[in-house]
Amino acid sequence: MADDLPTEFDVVILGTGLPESIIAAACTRIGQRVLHIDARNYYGGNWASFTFSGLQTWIENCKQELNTELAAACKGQALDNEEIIPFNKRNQTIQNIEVFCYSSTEDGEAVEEAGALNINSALLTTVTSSDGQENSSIDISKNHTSTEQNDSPEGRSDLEEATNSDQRSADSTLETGTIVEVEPSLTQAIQQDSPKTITYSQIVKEGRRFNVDLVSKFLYSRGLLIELLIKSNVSRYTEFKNVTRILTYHNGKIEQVPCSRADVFASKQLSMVEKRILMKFLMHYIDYELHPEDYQDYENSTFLEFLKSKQLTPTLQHFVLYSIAMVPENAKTIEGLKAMQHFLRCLGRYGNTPFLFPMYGLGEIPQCFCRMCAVFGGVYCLHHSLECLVVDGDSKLCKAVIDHRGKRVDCKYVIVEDSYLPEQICANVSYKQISRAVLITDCSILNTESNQEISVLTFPPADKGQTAVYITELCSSTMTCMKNTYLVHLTCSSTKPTAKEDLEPVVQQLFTLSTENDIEANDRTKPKVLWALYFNMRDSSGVPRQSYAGLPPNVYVCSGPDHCFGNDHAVQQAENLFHELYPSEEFCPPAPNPEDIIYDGECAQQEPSESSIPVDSKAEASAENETVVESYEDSEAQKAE
Amino acid sequence: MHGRIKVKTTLEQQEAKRKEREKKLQLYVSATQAALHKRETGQLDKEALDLTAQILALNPDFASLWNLRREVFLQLQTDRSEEEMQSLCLGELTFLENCLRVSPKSYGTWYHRCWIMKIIPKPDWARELTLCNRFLEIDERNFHCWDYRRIVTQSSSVPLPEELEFTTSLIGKNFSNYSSWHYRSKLLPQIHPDPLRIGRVTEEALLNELELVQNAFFTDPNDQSAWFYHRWLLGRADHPVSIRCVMVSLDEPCVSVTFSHPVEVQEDLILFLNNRPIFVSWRTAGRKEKRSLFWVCDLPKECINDPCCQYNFQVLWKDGEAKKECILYPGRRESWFRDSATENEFFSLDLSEGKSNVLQQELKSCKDLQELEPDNKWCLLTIILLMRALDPLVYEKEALGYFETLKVVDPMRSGYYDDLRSKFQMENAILKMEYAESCLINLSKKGLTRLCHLEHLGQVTHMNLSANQLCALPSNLCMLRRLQVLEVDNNEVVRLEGLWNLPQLEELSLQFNKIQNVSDLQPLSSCPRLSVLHLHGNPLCEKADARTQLESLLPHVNTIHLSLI
Amino acid sequence: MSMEDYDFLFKIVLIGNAGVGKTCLVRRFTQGLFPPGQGATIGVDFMIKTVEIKGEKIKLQIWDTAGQERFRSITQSYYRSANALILTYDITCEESFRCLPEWLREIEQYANSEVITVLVGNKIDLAERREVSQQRAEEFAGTQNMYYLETSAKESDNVEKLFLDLACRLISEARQNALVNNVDSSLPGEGKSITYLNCCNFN
Repeated sequence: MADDLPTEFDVVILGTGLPESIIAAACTRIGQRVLHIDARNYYGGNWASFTFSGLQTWIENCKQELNTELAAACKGQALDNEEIIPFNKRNQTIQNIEVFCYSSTEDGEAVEEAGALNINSALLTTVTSSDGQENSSIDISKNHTSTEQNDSPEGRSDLEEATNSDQRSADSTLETGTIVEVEPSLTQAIQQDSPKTITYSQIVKEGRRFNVDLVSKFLYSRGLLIELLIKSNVSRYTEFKNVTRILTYHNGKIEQVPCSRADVFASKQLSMVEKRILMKFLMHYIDYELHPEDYQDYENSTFLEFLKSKQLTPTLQHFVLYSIAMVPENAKTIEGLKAMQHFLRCLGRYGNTPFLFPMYGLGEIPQCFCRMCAVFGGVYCLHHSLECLVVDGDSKLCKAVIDHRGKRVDCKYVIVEDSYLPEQICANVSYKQISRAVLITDCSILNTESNQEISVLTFPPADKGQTAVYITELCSSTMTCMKNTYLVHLTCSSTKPTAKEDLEPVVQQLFTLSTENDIEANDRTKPKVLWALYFNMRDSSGVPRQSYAGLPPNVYVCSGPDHCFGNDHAVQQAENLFHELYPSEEFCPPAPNPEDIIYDGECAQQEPSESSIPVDSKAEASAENETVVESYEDSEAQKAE
Repeated sequence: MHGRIKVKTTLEQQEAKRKEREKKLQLYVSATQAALHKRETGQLDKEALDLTAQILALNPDFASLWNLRREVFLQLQTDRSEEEMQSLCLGELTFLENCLRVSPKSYGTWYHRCWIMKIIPKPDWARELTLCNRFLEIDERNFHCWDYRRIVTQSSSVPLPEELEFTTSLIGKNFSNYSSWHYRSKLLPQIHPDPLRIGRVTEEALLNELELVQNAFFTDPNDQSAWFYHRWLLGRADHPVSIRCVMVSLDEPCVSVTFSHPVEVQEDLILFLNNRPIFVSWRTAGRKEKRSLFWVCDLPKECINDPCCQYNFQVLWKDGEAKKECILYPGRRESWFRDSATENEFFSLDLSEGKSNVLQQELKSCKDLQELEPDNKWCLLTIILLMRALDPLVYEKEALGYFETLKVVDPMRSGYYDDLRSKFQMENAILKMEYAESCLINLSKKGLTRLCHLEHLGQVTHMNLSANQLCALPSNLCMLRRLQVLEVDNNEVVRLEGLWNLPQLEELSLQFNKIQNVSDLQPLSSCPRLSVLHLHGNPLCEKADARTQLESLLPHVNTIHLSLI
Repeated sequence: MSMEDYDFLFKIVLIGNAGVGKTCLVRRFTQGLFPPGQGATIGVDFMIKTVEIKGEKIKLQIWDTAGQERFRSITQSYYRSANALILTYDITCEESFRCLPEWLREIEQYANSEVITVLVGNKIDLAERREVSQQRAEEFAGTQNMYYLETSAKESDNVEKLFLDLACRLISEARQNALVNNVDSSLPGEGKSITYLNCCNFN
């Protein structure tokens, strides 16, 4: 099929992470011909979300060594005065993957994800797809050396036994599927009974209820990403949920941070006077620029010192510093004030907290931009690797790319996600690291009447030199985890060699890590971790372009996700790159409302004359396929005029 | 422009919209005409429902069309089975719900829903309650919905604690919500009734509420709804109507009755003399008002012809809803019996020791808040109210200080604060007088702008109101039946309608006021015993023939002091 | 309520291999024409047709794949909020039929579990070149609990029927849901899509 690929594009984009996807959409919106390629068989790169089995496959792939040799076919495609820069085909951005399973894995081996189709082979010869990620059978517990296996036959009722063995195929979909439409309040009623022990096999079986994000970020309700989604009309492709509460870890326990008027009113941790001081402080400094006299003496001090000077009690200092401004202890006053202002201005746009979370996970967002790009003619190829860049010997500009089948595609610009860059180009680059943990737990870190809370928790640094850990806890109504579980993400800038070393102390303080079932009877104060994943992700967000050696000037680099909580970096990067390419063009103008589009021959009700219709059915098929190409030619012709 | 899509231009869009609007308007007009025609011709059928539905979906405030729908339903009721009516009504409720989603604040729609719920054969009130709660979650101030909800809760007998919980959750979402606080104030006395005081709540419940409301005003001290609720919490019980004072005087002779609330008296106030009803006619002391605190009747002379007898007077109001006795001992010319302000804690809360500790705490919190928010008028006012609730006399001076601050931070309402302060000053003076068991009351130099609580001054013989800012002597001053000497020097009195019919008044001093004309003193002619009148320092003194006129107006007054300013 | 734009709004999503005539079905239905030699117009996210069924206006938002199916690169988010899916294959192309399980897998994976799926065999105008028998397709549809219909976008056979039947089914499902939890369905200000997320205030 890939042979259908046109041979010429304006822009070739390699990688479907958020910045690349935004650029792709922006380019087709101004009529550029875009080829958007990802070597992986999923969208999003390190911004992707996976079902549980998809995540297993991802873990496997990250560990695999790939053949890094340049396909022989490439050589033949380059001309005499052309040089070749090969792409890196091994994903080195993910390291130190460790998986732990704390739930009962008794019958884990035999389990398959529910919903696997029961297709009658007599009716149809099923073609087994080799690239369908969800198709691979799951046998995780045995595959990983670090996965602890613990068979605990106790603690499972007969009922569960029955459920385990019966709900294997499509009929279980119907039952579990009801989650989708049930309002949180109803779900709550259904789930009133105390949390049952979730077994590993249940997780596997309900695996596609999970959408596990590789990066854990939220959208600030007045952040650049939300503004861009709205401005470009890309927002029509997705839906959001409000983050319902901001938590912090303070004095050895988890507390809710009052950040709205209603929260302050309801807060039990604050004294009356603290309530007034906090409200007064926040209301005053939301427009801090208007009162320079109130902070200018502290411009060279830290934000914390400034907070102390304003008579904020230690509790209030903690809340404002870690959970509202969300800045480190050494942040300067202005930085803290700005961050606090951003947080406060985001409050109340869509809800009681400043954050939104996309249904089905953050991985939806790059895909939404890709859809927009495709609607405007972008050509999409997942699971399609590029072998090399072709560089003109004289101009040193990149002229084309060659794919893994040896097909040469000419282009004017190449945009590439940095993980695809070969070592020779990145030799001088130093990267930071992000430490990540993903947990599946059996109850919320702070139980309330509602079991459908979406929480953000800041865990302040234990020692100097460490950074705060940002924790997000997602409930099943975000469509990222199965019923009766929570999906917890931990993120921090790495300070220790592995993610586990960075994050496990925090995990241990907040959760029970045990395979013992009877512990439930004694200690239900902490949620139990059912499954845990640790890994490090490379943070290339701070790498300046100059550090890449020998990159043709018309090849642009997008970085992977940064460690920050919001998405501003990716959006800013996309916009900046777009303007480097097309300084005078508008960045992501609103896509037209489909109702305002005038179609050719809109009112023409006449049947096309018989003669004009190709009788050959293949002609019709190719007609559909050719659309994209034709329109490129048209726009090309238009330019020539 | 191949390859790029064509999009309607703004002009085209406007044009398309205009056409759309025009089309809608035409439809609207023709549907309206058709519907009204059906009404005129009495075609109350399902087609009429369809027509009106089209219009009401667009304009739910078209009241006569809702009326038309009701007429149709009444018509249908006559020949449809119960099942049919049930399904018609269910359909109507769905239609109404859709209308409400579009315009949740349409009175007509809510009213019609209410009406349908009354005629539907099998109403599902629980569902209606859920509906209301959902709408209130969206807009907790939708008072149409609140009104409807009240009807729903009455019909579905929701447990009151659940209702309280509902208000708690709404307040949790947004405490700037009069409706929720108000509803609480109605629910709490039913859920936690104070066994002793009608309309009030138990101390325990009160403490919880005080904490809740304190959270609100510390979070946002400028939110009025919380302060209003706080005032309700600190308020006094709603006493039933009672008779505060009965006074008998043989000089007139008359019997006067003072009520706790203004009432309208006709045949329902009965006077017994030695257990025998006697026919009297009651009048107010003033001239016009229908409802009054004070009622007086003439005593037929023949009833009390023997001065050596003891007379037992009793007044009974509304078959005993309120009553009071008064004994005239032999040889006495007058007698009274009254409730004392000090014993009955009219001016403060009757608090247990525990609760008064809570109020002390409350006062302390408010003072803390005042330190943080020195200019917050609600806080200042609450401090004053708390002080009064705790002990009006102990905090007298401090409270006056807060009044001064209050007038500075909120000059717009300084008149209101002056009146309030006057009220408190008078309460304090009454308390002091009662503690001293005196019949003299000194209210001079209190900055009074108005007079109140005069119903408590029935026994006063001597009242000093000098050096205040009074502009008028109010009509209910005539409740002071025993008043002999009244000093009102150095005020701004212009009018005297209150000095009417004071049977005992002998001396009146009105020096340095603003009385312009001799005719302004006309009411004094109704005070039979007035013999000394001080008018020194009033504008009328400048008039040459003032004295002559006065002498002819008030022939019974022996001494009139009148000289130029 | 006939003066409102519509009484119901449904999102219908088309999937199936490239070249089976998805776009032609959409254009035949929405515009009444069979696009000669050209397919989707650049920049058209979805097409809209409002139909009237028993006096109610049903607005159908019909989404096409935007060409992403060519290299099997459809985004998951495309499926997420669809009320109905039209899974199309070409009766003259065995390969397009064989790919159906793969499509069904995607549906299972990404679409709402209550989505209505219709299997459509297109191009019955080319009956002489049929590679997939109606019976075989019907049986397959039966095992997957799908409705099955054969159409010709070119001859306009069954195209109206396809969409109108679907609309009827969607209405009755919506009605049922409305009866069950009408009260719980969202009110103004509660929508989840960003344009509907409403304000609550800090001040």
